[in-house]
Amino acid sequence: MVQQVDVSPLRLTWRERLCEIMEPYRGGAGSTRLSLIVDLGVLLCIAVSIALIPIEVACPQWEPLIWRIELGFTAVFAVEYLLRWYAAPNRLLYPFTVYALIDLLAILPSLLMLGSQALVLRSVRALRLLRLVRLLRVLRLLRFVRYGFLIGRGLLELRIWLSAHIYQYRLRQLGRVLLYMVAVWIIGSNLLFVTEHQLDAPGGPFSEYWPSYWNMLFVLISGLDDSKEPLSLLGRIEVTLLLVAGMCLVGVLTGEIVSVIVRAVQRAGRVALKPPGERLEQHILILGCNAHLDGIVRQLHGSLRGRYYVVVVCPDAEQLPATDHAVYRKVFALAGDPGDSRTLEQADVDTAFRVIVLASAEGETDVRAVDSRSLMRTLAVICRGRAIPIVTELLSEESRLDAAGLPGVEFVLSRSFAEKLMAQFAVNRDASAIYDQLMTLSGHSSELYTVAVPRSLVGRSFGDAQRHLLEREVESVVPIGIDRSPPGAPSTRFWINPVAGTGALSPAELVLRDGDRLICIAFERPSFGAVSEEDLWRGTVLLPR
Amino acid sequence: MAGYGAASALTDAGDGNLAGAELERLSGHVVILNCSAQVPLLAESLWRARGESLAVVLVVQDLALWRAHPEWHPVLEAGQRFAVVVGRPTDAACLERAGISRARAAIILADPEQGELADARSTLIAVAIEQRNPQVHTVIELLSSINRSHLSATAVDDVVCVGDIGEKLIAQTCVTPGVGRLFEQLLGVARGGPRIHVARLPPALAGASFRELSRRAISAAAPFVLIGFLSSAAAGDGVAGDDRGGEHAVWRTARRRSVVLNPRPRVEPGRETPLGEDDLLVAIADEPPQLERWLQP
Repeated sequence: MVQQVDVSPLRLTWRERLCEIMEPYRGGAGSTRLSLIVDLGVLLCIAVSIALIPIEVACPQWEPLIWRIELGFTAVFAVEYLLRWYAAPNRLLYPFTVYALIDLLAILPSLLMLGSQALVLRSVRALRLLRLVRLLRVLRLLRFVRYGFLIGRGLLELRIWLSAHIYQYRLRQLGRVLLYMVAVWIIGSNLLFVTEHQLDAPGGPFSEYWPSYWNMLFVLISGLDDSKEPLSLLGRIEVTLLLVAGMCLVGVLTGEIVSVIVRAVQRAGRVALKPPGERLEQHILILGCNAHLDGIVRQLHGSLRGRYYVVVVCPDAEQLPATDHAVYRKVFALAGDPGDSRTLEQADVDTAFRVIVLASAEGETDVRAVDSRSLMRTLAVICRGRAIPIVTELLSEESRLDAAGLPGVEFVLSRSFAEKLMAQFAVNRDASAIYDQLMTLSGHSSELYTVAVPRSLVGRSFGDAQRHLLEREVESVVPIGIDRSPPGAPSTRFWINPVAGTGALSPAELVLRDGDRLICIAFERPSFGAVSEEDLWRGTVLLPR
Repeated sequence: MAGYGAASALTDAGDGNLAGAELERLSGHVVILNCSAQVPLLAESLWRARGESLAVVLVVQDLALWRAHPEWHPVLEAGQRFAVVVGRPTDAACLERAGISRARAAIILADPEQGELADARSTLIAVAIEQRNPQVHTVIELLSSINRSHLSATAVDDVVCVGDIGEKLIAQTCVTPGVGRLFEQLLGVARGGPRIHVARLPPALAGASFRELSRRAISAAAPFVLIGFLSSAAAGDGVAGDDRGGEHAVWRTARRRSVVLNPRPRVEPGRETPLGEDDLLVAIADEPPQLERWLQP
């Protein structure tokens, strides 16, 4: 006998919504944009309040003002603490959780000081003790632990963004020249100050320390005029050497700046090049290039909202167009033969979690030859021994039959799907828009997903799962089947529209088991499919945002 | 090149089992225009569709090409009706010979002889068909999605763009490994497998919402899963967007119904929207769903 599940509607209460907002942003269905904004606001408050501590110590005259600002931050953190407590699923235990204790420690020093003012603890010893307590605000640093995921991801993206721009516009060379320039400027200013300040009349170019810097800058950039002329022989020798150095460095610097501008113009509208030293992890690797590339990148962006980096490897990667800046923000191109193991290493294939092999003609007209190239590239990835899911685009059915034994590879033969779709559309006038929507990845369309059966539904029937999800108000999901495929071979043993007594399923087999997956139609990956932080880091699942 | 340019070249190729008067009397059949390697699978799918074995008429422009590829010829079994008409697919007499005015649907395949430029010829054929019979359901195979917009001036009902399908399937399989096999089963030709069916809402069920009808289907252990509906009412927020028509465009069927797949709660049209008599239900089922039998309160 199959148990009935609780099918009471799951409308989000105000408290649940608050809990969702106050939870640290991790991406996925449960994390909203508002949650991200709140997190960033709190992080900013923590950073500023910690920065005030050394300022307070260094500039005691600002203490009253800083104390007022500090009171403001304490009020913000106190309200945040109370909101978290209110929204916590278990309010009795919440104050004793690690994060709650850290939050309390962050506001306690300021509250103690506030309390002491009220109690008029004015003895010298009490004041010293209070100063010590005030320093305990440094404990707010612990609060960053809660936002580890967000901070880690932010820093990673910043690092990749910086290295991509440095490589793209050859900024490293410019930086080096600038460094030499600054070094010459500082050394020159100090040398001339030391040599000239005894001889120079008051108001002379190198008679005072800081004006020496200003005058040296002029000497380096625009040369020497009468007003900057040194008086001593040594000074004149130094200025001559510095003039030569200045001429060389300014020339190189101008050249570098022009080169950066030219490079920026040349690369405008092109996909950014992958920086060679930058190691990417959990990215999507596309091997080869054809007319479908732009569409695929757009589809992936629509579904995953730019969360993941995409690396495209093809011989003419330098020329790949970036048709939309927002879509291509996290797309890198890498020039080289996608079948070459050295190129694959540069593309960090071992740490990618999805590989797409496109049917890349590269001058070839015979479809079997194009397929052979795609299959060689597929084999090049497989032979690295990593269990990375691979999607390979093929052009002929024969190639698919030949390659059917390759493990972990899914072959897409668009021509074969087109035939089937045409037959369906011919007999079913309204089917095309339905399939089009099901096949399109975007935030506004429903797609097919397979997600682990939630623990609460294990032991219940498929019908119970349908009923349960039908009444969920949190997100809209329609389960359409059961997937019992072995790990590593998704959708190899599944039933769509499982009906007891028909096909291969008995009523007992309609009962959901641990390890089963539900095949669902949903707007994005259903949130009930548990995703751990480790899953996110490892990229076991792809999530939007 | 056989058959190019002239109506006088109109002949039966003699490769099918329909000819003469039988061909002239044919109605409710499907006309396939242009021959390619897709013909056998397409014909097989049509013969197996809904278990009603549709008659298929193939219009071949280049008889030599057709004859040179015996692997493109479908293998006929008992009860399967197939005819080959030779002629130019844009020619009115040729289309009439293929019975386009009585046909249920026309499928225009990309001409393999035209290579990458086949889309232009296919579009011209679509225009010719729509002129002869605007009622016929026209499905066109496009090679390049860029040319999709050129069809807006014609009355082509459905466009199957090979490029689009490839892109979408590759991206979906990348996000959800295994999804290609799910689609393969939904689109499979084997009899008795799950398919997407669109069925008119019985008048007795009008006024009920998707949620209500789904509850009834689940409680009655109906042999189908309701996944959405096609609404003839104006679509509002919450309806799917379309990458071709901007962020918030609405998917519409050939008959201008808005597609509400996996209806959302608390939006219009959505899970709670009362369905009208003109609305259609979308279900996944092995056989055409008997809504009246399973969805009665």
